[in-house]
Amino acid sequence: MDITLLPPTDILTHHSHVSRLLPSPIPNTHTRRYRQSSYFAPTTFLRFPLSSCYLGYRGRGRSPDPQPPSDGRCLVDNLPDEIWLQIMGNFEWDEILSLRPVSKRFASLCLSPTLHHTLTLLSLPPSPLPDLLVRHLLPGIRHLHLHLFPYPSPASAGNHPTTVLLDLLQQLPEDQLLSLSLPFSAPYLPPSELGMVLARIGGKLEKLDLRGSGLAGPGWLRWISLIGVKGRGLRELDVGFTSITALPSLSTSSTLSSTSSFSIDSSPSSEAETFSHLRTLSLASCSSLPTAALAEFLATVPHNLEHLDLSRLDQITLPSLMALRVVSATVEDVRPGCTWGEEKPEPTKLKEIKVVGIDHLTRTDVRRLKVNWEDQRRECMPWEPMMVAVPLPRVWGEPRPSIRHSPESINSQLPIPPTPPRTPLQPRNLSPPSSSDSSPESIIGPSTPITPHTPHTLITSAASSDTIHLKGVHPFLQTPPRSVRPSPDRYLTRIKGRDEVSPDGSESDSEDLTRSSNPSTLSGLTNLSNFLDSSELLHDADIAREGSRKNQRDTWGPWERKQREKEKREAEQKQKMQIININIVHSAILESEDEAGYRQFIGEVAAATTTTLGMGR
Amino acid sequence: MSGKLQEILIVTSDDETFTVKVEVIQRSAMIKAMLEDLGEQEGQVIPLPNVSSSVLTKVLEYCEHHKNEPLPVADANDVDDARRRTSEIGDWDANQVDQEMLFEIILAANYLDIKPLLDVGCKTVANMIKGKTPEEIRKLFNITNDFTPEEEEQIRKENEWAEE
Repeated sequence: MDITLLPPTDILTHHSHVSRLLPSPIPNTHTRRYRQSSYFAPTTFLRFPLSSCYLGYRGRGRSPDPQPPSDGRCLVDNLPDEIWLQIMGNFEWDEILSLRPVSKRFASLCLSPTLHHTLTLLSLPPSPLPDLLVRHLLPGIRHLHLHLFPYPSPASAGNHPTTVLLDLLQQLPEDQLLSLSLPFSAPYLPPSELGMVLARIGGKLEKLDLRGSGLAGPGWLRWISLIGVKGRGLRELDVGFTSITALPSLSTSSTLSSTSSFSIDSSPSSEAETFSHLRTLSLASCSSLPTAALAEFLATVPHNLEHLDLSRLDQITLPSLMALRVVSATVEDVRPGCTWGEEKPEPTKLKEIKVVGIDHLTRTDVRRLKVNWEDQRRECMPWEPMMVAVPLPRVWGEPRPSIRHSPESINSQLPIPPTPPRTPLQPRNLSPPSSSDSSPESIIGPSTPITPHTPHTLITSAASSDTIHLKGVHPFLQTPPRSVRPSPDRYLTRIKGRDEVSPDGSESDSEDLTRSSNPSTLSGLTNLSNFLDSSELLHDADIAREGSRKNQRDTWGPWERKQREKEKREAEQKQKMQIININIVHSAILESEDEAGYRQFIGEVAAATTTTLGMGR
Repeated sequence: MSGKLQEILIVTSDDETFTVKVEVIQRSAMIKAMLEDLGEQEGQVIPLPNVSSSVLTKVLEYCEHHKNEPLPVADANDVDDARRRTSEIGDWDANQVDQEMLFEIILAANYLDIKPLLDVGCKTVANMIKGKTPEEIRKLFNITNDFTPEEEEQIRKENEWAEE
């Protein structure tokens, strides 16, 4: 079979086609023809689209069903109920119900509560609610998805949709639901009713999707603190596309003192408790949120939050994004009531932030944000792991000319001719490990901590989010590690030919830094390599000790040990990078808002499309 | 690898003895746990009074085929994993096995606690049922309709709203 004939989606989702081409101990006898009668089969289990039959693919079609014994025995009773339940677990709730008429045993199995933990309704049930729904389905439901869009016209429905929906939600047992999604339901439920219902049924909710619901004003804070308090806590919350005007006040005594104007009825502490469990929060397109409320919220973002969606919130200011809490200040902050230990800054769990569709953010802004946030996190990382997070010692310690990590080589990979300002960097290229004569104190001093921005780090973080190529230092940030980040960014280096032109402050800034602090960085790197050597010795000792304990490891040769050591270190390094990294999803196109940036952007577009226009350059 | 148990003996319900590599049979959580309890002895004999030799052959084929995959995590619930398993149905569907054998394999997988195989078996049966009318399903499994016409009508009425 030629897999290149398959549609890409099929190669991706049914990659076992490839495995079938490989030798297999189990005989593959997939030469049967696609069965006509199975055209009526529903789509989910039909692995191949109908059209593929006509194209002559003979892939994973539906094969003839195994036939029952010819003597008419019924084998169904051989399987116990638990296995039939597992078989039926592969079906949607309505398919399960359609099996009821088969036999009495099926009929009773089909109403087993364990099969009906999830209910997805795409249209409102009739009113009054069907007996089956009320008596058999709703009592056991854990996950309720009401995707009722588009709305029925009031004329066609017998009863008012709000009444039916309220009736349905009222039938749910108290505090049982784990997830509820009710997207774009504004015409169904007024916010006050929604709040009342959720306060009753939401005690164990972990996932709440209220996109485009009728939420408005600050009222939702009255009940949000009740959500999830009886369970493991609310993990995911989506209140995007609503008209909320207030966010919970999350500040604790140890951080900023809050103005209580944003919290309405409930005490800030209970809101903070609710939000402290959140992993995912979406505030996308909440255009009524005031700038001040957003700023306060960002400065006190919950420690455990991993994904934050701020898309299309044009009212967010750049400084308030800069002030986003990426490092939580105290131990008390992390786990309230914890008595041990001293106060220690620790990176928050935030991994990804979406700022799509915020028009005033430029690419430069996004880079500055990333640098600012990650710098803050690097600073609070423990010292020794930081050393591990640096290129492997082999780069420096071995004769192999592995200058892959050297900044110059990054530049040289780009199709840019060397420009005059680059020449001062030349010495760095020559022999990094040999120049150990410069005093280490000059680097470890408090004003200039050892730069964690080694080129390797730079590569990794650049690769992790494809939209960000350069870390520039914003002039007003003044973040302590004002270290060199030689720019691999073609946008900036292109302009470097004309020395005095700088599209924004950061360009000339980083250029200055490159010139002035170059020697210290050089020795900084050397210093790092020293650290690495010593840490490697330590690890070797560890390994040796471990090896004496475990028989198997005794047989490791020195090479194997080193290899394993290397893997371990790489894993640690990767882990560190993951902790530090914040992925920014954005839609910024322009390099900057000023004229130079715009011209540059236009110039690039023009250069990419045609060379004869004579524009820009 | 010295001192590591390599092979064990399995005796099936019809008194056949299979020599099985441990790395293959440890797909079965039940036997894996059993071996841990019994201690590692070369030539350990494990009787399986619930499994016939023809079924065990099929089960071992499956284990052999998948021996290089990581053992499933206890609470592997993620969607990708499930999807991958679904796509493996091909190894087991169709006329490789008849219905009796399919059910026997499912029972054996359940007994031996080989979760992925149990999943594949259940999905195969689900695929057989999917999209069929109750009458077709009865025919497929030789099920006798034990409803009275009134009961059938009652169920049809109850189901009406869900089938729209």
